[in-house]
Amino acid sequence: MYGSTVDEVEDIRSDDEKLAAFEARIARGEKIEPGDWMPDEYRRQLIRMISQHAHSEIVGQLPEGAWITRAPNLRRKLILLAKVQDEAGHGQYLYHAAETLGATREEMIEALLSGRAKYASVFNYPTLNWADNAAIGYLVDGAAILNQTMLARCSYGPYARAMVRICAEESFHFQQGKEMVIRYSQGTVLQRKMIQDAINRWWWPSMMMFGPHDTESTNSQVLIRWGVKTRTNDQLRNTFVNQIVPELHEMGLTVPDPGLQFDEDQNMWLHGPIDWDEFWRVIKGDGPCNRERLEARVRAHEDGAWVRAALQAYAEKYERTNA
Amino acid sequence: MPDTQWPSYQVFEQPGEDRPLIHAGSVHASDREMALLIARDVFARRPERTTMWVVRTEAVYARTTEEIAASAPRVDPETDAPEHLFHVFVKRTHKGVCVQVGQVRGQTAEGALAAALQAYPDEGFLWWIFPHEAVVRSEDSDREALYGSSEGKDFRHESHYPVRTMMLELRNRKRGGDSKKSDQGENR
Repeated sequence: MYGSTVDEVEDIRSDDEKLAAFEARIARGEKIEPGDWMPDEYRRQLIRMISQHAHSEIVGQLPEGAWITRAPNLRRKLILLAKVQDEAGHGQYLYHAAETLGATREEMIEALLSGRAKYASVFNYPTLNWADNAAIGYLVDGAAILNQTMLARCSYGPYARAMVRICAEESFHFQQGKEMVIRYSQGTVLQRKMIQDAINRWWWPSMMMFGPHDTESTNSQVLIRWGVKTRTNDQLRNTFVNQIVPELHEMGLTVPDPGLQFDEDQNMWLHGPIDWDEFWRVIKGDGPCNRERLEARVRAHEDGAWVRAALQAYAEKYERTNA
Repeated sequence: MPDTQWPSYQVFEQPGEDRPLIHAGSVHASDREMALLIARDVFARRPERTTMWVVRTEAVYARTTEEIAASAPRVDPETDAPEHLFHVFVKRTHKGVCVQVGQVRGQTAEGALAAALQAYPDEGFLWWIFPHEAVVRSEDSDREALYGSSEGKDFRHESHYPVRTMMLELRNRKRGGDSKKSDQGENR
């Protein structure tokens, strides 16, 4: 875009005054938009969050994508294709939102392909059978929806608007997963075992999607102060537990948490201790599928080079003949 | 040619016939036709019989009302220079996006903005002006090609999954003391 006179018009306020005005806008519930003044730290945190979120959507296609060719029937195959297509689209909304803050698409893609970029650690686990798709829809997307519903109220306009679009579409991902979990749980002995096993493997990775405990979360303070997050990691995680656990129990399933207990005083379920060593190991690259996910992304990029070259050649030819 | 993500295009969609277009976001594409196709893939997966516009980002002239107050856009001189049609979009609310308000004629984008401020004395936060030549739009005849494959795919909507009914039935079965579970697994 062009036409901005912001460099010609001097902003004579001090940094303190600018920060106070910015924080007052946030307190009033106003959205911060591209081109508005914002502290460097706000921009940096948002670029980090939004690009990681975008990478998570793109990498998130891979555990499920493996099952497109092995769906149990055509209907489930079409549903899975639709879900994966949505995830590609969600990644695109989010890359666009990060670009409004000054990140370039080239930098973000390069960071992902080089292995530098972080993404949700939950996608570093393998999908072993079809029941995993049910567990992922129910637990992983269930957790994502809680997080994204909160982020739909975030102070940065393009991110909040991307979240609204994503939430509207993600609800189908959750429902199709839940439907399958219910069906498995009410099926044959073998089907019930399959879904219980999938829940057992996906429960803790889903719980870790909410991030470290509040006491360990270094970014949360400033994110809450500036309206990016409105609830803490532990608050969201507890909401998740109290939504999902009663439903699983009704289906005759359990969660693999020996420390899970119902607190009569607070009238809520409390979960047991989380194995944070595993969380940090997987985030740092030592999870079961980290290398595989990265290789799949690099291979997709390299295998797709001829498509990009063809589009480029066509674009140049079209420009030449229409000059 | 280095591997780049190609030029950026702003995407606008029309939520219904005779409704103003609204800004949906942006895409990167190798050319105008791909920009429209990619915009459909990214923004219009559910059956939406809308018109879509894509405009090269570099063609959009953007000014905030603060900038306008500090430095008013210059009116085009009264000459015989040719005039072009420019589209006018305004962001009216804090939480909103740029929305179409109308069209003006002008020699330059800046002159068009000056004309737009006269024609549409709205209190907006942000003005976008771009020439009509920069717009690539989907035609009515494109609708089948763009949206036909999404028709009838109810499974993309959450209402397609009867989970509430299923959970109710489950509870009723339990309450009725019927602990027998089906031996026929549902092969769905």
